Amino acid sequence: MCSFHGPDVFELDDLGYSKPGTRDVPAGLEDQAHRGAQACPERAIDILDAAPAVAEKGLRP
Amino acid sequence: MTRIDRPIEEIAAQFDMGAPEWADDPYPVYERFRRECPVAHSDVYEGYWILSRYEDVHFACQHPEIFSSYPNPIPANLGATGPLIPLEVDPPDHAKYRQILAPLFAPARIDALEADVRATVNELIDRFVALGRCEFVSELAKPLPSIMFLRLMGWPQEDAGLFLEWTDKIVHGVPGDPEASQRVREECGLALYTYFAEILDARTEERQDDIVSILLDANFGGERPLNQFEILDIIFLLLIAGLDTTTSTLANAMVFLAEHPDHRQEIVSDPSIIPHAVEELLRLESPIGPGRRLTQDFTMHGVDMKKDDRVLLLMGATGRDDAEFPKADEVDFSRYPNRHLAFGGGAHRCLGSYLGRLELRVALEEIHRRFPDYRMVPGTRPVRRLSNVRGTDELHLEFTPSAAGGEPREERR
Repeated sequence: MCSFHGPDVFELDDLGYSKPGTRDVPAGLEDQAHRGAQACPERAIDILDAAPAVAEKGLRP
Repeated sequence: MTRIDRPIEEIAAQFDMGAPEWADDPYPVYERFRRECPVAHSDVYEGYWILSRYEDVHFACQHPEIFSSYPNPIPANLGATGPLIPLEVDPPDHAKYRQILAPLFAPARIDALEADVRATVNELIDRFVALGRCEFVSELAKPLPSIMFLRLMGWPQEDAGLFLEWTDKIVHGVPGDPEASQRVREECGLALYTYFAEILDARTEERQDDIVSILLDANFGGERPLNQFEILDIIFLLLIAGLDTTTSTLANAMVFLAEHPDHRQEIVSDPSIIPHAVEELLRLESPIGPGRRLTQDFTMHGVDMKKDDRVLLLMGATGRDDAEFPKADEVDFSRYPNRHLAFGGGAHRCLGSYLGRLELRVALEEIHRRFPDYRMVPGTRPVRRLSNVRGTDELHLEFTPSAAGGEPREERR
């Protein structure tokens, strides 16, 4: 479900699971990261240091 | 006094998913469970607790150390000779079985079946589309998953009818008659095992490109090969977990769409929303009702449960929980997030969810391409059931007839 909503952020392995571990979200993909994390039925994805991304989004025209 | 107006404890005490009482519409009862009695108790089948709130069921799924999956069904025995593998196996052994099985249902392997699923759906539609009517359950929803199962297993298609009959009886039993249900389940279980055992013997002699051969060569946690009983138990589970669940979800989805032409029209107007519609229709009925067994005394919402008590996880109730899904009784194909528990959750999350989603998506795509103006046949109503898998036994549809097979195949994407 995470890659369904955030295909450019969440890469699935051969068995269909998102690869575990911490990684940086490329600029411009914050929205996909949030949507993908929010969609996870297992609540297995945390967005660390989310505030800047949200603030940045708010400042955009 | 109508049935629903009784005290919730009284309703709970007699609550039996196998009985026809709530078959047409269990949701008002589910709502009362969630609101008034989140840890309810039924006296049926030697007694079990009922969890109905999304948060509680989700917790149970994610804590197998408290909520063991052995035994799983309520009542416990579906006619298998051993534990259903891997459904009834707890961590850590569970992961060793999943490691063997996961590649068989991995996205790449399942994606490769798409053309096959589409061809199968179209062949089934060809049989009735010129008539302008069909009984959807027996003519499409049932045959599709069993044909795909046999293809996945590499077994003869002509046996599809046998599998349908066995799984039907095992999953549904005899509604309202627990003793007859148990007898029928044991009979069909034996028939299934006999069938599997013959194939297993043949593949032990000579491997083929099929799942049984892969299982014969598989390794359990780097420790040992699987034994014959384990392989039989795995195949038994694949069959009962993969056929009726898909049939039920597809038929339930079509009941909803036939009764709600506005939602049907949304799909016809923009078929690209079908993957979202599939998720939303999965949420709406979340048909399975798996069980657990407590490994320790445990208290929830002030209710003391005891070690070894059985607990029913009422998935169908979780899908309608407003605390997780705003306006849960409304269908919204753009609902987000949609973290439904139709495929369960935690370590036992459905192994075949990719396959199920593929069959549902392709079926809805082809249905809405080939006979988009379907409606319920006037004077008929869908025959619904609750049981271990909430489903639909009959759904009579009519629509504008079109030529069978003659329609140009519109290539999507």
